[in-house]
Amino acid sequence: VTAKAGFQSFLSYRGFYWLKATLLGLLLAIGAYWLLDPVGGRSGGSWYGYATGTLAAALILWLTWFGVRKRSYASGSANLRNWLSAHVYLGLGLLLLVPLHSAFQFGWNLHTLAYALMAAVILSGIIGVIFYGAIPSAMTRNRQGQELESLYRQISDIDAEWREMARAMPDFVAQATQVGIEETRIGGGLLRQLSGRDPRCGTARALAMLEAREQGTGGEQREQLSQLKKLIGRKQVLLRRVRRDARHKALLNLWLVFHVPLALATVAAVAVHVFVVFYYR
Amino acid sequence: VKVRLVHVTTRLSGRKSRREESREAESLRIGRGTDNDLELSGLTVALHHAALHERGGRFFLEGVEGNSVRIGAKVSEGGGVAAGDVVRIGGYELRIVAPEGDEDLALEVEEIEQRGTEREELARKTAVGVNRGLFTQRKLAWGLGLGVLVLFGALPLATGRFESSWSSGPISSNHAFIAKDCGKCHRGGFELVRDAECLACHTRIGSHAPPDVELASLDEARCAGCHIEHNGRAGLARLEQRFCTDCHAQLAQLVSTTQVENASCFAKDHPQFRIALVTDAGAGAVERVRWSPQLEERSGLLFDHLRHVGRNVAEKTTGEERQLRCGECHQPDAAGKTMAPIVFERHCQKCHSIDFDPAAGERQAWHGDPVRMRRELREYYSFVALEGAAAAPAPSPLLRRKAPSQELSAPEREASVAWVEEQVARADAFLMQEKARCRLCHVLAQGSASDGGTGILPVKVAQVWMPKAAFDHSTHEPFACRECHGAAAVQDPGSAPGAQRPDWAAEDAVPYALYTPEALRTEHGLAPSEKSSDVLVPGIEACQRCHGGADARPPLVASDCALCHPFHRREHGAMHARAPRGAEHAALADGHVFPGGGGSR
Repeated sequence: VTAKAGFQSFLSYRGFYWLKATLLGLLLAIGAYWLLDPVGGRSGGSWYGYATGTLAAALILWLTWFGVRKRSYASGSANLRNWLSAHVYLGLGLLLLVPLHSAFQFGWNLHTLAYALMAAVILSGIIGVIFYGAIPSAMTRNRQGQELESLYRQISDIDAEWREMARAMPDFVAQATQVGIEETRIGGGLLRQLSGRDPRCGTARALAMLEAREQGTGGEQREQLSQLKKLIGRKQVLLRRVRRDARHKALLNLWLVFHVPLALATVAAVAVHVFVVFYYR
Repeated sequence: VKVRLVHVTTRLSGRKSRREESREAESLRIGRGTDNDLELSGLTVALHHAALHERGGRFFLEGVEGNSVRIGAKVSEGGGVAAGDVVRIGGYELRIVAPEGDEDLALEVEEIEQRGTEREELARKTAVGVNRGLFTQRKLAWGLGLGVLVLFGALPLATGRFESSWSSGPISSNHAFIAKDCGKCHRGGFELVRDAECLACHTRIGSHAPPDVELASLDEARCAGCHIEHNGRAGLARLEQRFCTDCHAQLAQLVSTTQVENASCFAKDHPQFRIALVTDAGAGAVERVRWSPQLEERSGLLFDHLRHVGRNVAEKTTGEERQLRCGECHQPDAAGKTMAPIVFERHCQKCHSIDFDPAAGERQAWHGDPVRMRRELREYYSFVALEGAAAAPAPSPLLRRKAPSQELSAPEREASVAWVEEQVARADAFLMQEKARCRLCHVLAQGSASDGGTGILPVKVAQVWMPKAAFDHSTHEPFACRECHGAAAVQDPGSAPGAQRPDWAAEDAVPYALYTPEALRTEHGLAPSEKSSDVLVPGIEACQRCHGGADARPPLVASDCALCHPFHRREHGAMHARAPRGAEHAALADGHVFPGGGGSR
């Protein structure tokens, strides 16, 4: 609930001040685009093109600097929310400002590459904003009011108990226990984390091993085995939640892995773009 | 066997502690279960794993229930052991030590694969977080950023490779052949493209104004000011009206000597056309005259459109009838732009024969010059006389066939010449009779011709009415002739009763359609053209029916200056190279020599 409130608070910060400011700026830019009819036709090389291009380049540098200035978006300070709000809306505004700068001329060249990279940065940012709005509440629900560490502790406790129970049990149980504890992994590769499950989960395999041998047992041992299976069932529930948590974290952070490098690539492309258009005039 | 067991454990401080106990059994049982003599608690140890026993003074360690043990480096089902051997079972190391006192053997037992707490073990197997492996933020940032700088910046700059990625747009098709050679136009180093680079190839491009016109804005204009590259198929020349009207809206004030009138918009203030009008065909005089419907072309020709257009004529050889249409005489020239000249022999003579003597049959008089016509008549009749004048209507009694060796006598010669002259005078009079033959279309000149005979007033017909504009018939091809030349395109129904009106599907190169005189009068208030002096080229109003100003919207055609008026006019000499700035450029531009120009200004 608090995450949602924080999320909304940076979008609607100061009564959508930055949204309004961005829209006003864009309206001015569009108006000037229609009114001005530069000699030689509309293009990035007209005075309007230079003006909007300079503005867009300055914005790109400023927005990139935000990342340098404050790496953590999670801080809830009013000043940071103001910055984040400006970052989001001004960044979105660039999507239109830059085509106005280039008079909607695109091609297979460095100049359009700079725009494509910038658009990719903004797209990843949009994904980030959407996930920041949706995922924290899902995360809280999944943890059911518990700390993540508490979930891990419970799993460890079950592992210890399992190991203890298995000590006095036949060797196939010991083998299954070995698999269930040593070969149960949480997370792993990016795709594994994003999937939120593990098709080769050691615990699940251990349970299958036990069930396969269950028929041959009887009496007290059967009773012990069913106790153990209950224990493993509890571990599986906990594992599902921990893995889902990892999935949430991956979704929440993945966009940033691309957002920042693409932003730096955009700055590099814009720098080369500016150099080239003045080098070959 | 009696065995001393030494349990070695490592404390948190790192120091090792030893705990000793003694066991005596038939066979020392080793395993995970509590019923063993040596209990090893790891899950990798079986409930009953192995047993140690003595046989014949030697000690053997053997796996039970098929379990294996490792003695030294060898994994097996068991074997002999002696002091100094090291045995591995699960995570434990069993070191055989020489016995002391009454014991048979000593074993040091140490768990060497230390496990952490379960929580530590779980942490070791947990890998959560996206910023790992190949795609870390830092690696991606450096890779992408440097990749862009190197691939699109350093590489093209240093080697010229991949420089095409710098292009701001596709090159025009005119320059496609130099598209890969950026340096052909761009000298690089933060400079505007200079005229010198353009003029290096375009050596013969015409200047805009006569050389005596001095106008700063014209001198300072750069090629690239109007010709904007990298716009692909949108074309190279930005023929914006502003480029023209900056000066031409008030040219009379800017250039005192000019004859060019001010104009800023074709729809609003373009002056009425001034046409090249033949005012005196005899003197060859052509004057530039303001168009008006009352203008008269003094071409020296008598011609009547009304009596020709739409008339049914019969092909002499086949007898096939057809209707005279505009395209019968008015054919576009090879470029399709203007109409080819009307030529008597091609266009008129089929109907308007200039035969001169029934005895000569279809033989035609020479057309084009009455002096030459009479000379050829004289030559013709001389030949007839020499031949014996068999077919002559009134042969001289003195003329008779001679044998080849016989010479004409003086009186005979005199009589022959007189006869020839008589025939020439008769034919000349026949051809020059009023309202027939020559004088059907021509007017007699005042005075006599150079041979003393009758002269014909020379004919001069306008070929291009508006030499300063670039009207093109071919682009107007879909429109019927009468749309612009209404007065000429008149079919007199009386002259061609029952004739079918021609339609658009005619195979002529120039489409046509005809009015009846009545329709012309009622629809357009025009009289049909009955005089050759009628000027049938339309005024500006005809153009303005379709053509609006530069910013006109459909259905009007947006028409800027350059639609009709080319900027570069070779009659004014060649374009000059202009140096944008710096002496270096001036020197470079001076290196080019332009015909008709003075190099760099």
